[in-house]
Amino acid sequence: MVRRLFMLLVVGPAWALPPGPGIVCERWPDAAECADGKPDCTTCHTQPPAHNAFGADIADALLPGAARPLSQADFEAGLPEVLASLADIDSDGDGVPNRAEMTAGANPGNAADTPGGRPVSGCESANPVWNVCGYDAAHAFKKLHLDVCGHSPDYAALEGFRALKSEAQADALADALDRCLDTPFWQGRDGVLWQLAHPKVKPLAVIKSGRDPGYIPLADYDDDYALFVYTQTDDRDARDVLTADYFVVADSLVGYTRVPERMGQNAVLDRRAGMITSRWFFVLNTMFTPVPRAAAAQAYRSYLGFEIARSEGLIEPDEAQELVDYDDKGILDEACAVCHRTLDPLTYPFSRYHGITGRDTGVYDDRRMRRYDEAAGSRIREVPEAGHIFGEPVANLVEWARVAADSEHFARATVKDYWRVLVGHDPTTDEMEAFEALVADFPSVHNYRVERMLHALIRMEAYGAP
Amino acid sequence: MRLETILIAAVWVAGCEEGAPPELASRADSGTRADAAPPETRYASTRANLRFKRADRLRLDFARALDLPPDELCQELGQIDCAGEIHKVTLGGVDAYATGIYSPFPETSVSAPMVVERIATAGCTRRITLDLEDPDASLIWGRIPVMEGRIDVEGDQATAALTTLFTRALLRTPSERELSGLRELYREIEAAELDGPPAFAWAQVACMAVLTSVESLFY
Repeated sequence: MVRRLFMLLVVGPAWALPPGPGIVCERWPDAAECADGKPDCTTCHTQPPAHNAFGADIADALLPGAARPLSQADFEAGLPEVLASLADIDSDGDGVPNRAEMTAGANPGNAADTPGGRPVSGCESANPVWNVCGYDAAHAFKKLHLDVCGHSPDYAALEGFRALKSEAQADALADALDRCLDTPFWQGRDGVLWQLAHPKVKPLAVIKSGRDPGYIPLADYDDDYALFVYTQTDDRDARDVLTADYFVVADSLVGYTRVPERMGQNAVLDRRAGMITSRWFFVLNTMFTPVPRAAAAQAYRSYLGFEIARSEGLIEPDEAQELVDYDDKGILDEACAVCHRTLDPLTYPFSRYHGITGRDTGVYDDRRMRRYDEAAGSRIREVPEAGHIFGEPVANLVEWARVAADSEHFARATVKDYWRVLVGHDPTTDEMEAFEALVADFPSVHNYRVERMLHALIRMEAYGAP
Repeated sequence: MRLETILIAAVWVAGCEEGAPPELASRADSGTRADAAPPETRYASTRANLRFKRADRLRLDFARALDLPPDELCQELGQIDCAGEIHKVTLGGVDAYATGIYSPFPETSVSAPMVVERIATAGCTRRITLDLEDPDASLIWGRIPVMEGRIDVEGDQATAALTTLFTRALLRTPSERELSGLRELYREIEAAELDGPPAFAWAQVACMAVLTSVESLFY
């Protein structure tokens, strides 16, 4: 039943079959997401098939006496009435009824996402310390010290800042940010940037090599952290995280050195694509798999912000591209093909790099698929190297990475990472305009430099309003 | 009087009043003891985006306020860094390499308040001890004249100590109401006839109350 409900309620832009979102837009046409599309899967789900509070309320109220799984016809017949009954209910308990949340563009199943509100026009702050009606430079000054330096400024520094005129305050704020961006708290081992890299690197001490090796040393993820921090600091292009053809060594508490070669890193120069061709990446994500879908999904998730398991980023090649089940995994079943039409073409370019293979680990090998016999799939040797990302054809992983790094999705995912660090949550409805402005400026105005983007972020009301 | 009663009273008197927008504090942490004494005026914040400092920032900020090396702030069994290691995940930190906790849990654990109090108490006690060992180099407490374990809590030196505590921990001076509350706290401790000098116990709970206030823990 759960899977059936998932089929019925979940939708992605490329999956038009489930009727749920369409019915939501029919019954609640004023829902913000219906203005230029349909509500996505997070409207009802946390991680499909699990429901969020709103999805759970729907599931409970939908034809309660009827046998499960419901037919599509029953679902379509029952949903309008359920929506009507839940319109004025506050499923997630955040104080805002479901329909009002949908109208405002907030998620009715997520208590952390509320319509919020800007400081009202004419607001006068009676607070003796902070201006709660809008941007407060002193608040931003204190906050950036905590966010980026790891601790508050001292009293004298804060009072000194308050005494400055507004133009001088802007300069002092920028200076403070620059100082903090160079601290161990921000870019040192286990600092903020290392922690930002944790879900991308997914370290595992027991198989670490190099410094502090584990019991079964297979690869050194310190190189991955070093490359990540290097690309996110100073006047460097953040896209190098996906396109770098060099390596980086962490050589002191705060010190990262670019090097052309690195012992243990086996991808040759013209086959390198930053973090997604490191030895660690292939050890952890490809392992022994002929068709390394987990590697592609991890790259898609970490650097482009799409979790395929949640039906995100399902952007298929054009219809002429036939999905082939090279490794006999049953992916042609429609329930599977929904995701695999995107995932498999995304994966093929990863297939020419060895996973855990002793001295060949991480080596590019255009004959890699010939190592596998029919036990790995009846057509396993036919797996192509060329694939697709965002529906665009690419010949190999280096091209894949270039398309990815130059995409708006990369800019959005990068900005969102830092928005979460500094603002503390995903952009709310009220903050979306500011967030979108940052995303738009990141490639052009900030030229993909993270630190330039952060300077813009700390001047925003979303950051500096108490 | 039991010490926990004193601690509750201490938190009561140090509840946010003029520093962080009280409305913010109450919305972010409603139902805590800090709400036991609602301030006279509440100022609404449209953002209401207070965040708990979590393990790393809490450790560094307490250490900065008390001028202690972070690894000397609090050590379990005298050996293991409280916020930097053993209670790190509890306080919203991560443990990526060994246990695969790559991102903080969205909510802090139920034991987080106890851990915060544990760390604040340890750090405060360390600061008081250092101040008493070398009063001339004292940061906060060492210049208050002590006679047989008692102090003149209305005196200038006690007021100066409390002011230093507030400016270091909360980046602002204390209000008259807050000073009055902490002086009253001393009188209650003295009257309770606890084991040990009342001046020491008062410095401990006053410091702990300020460091564990909503205004101190959230930003």
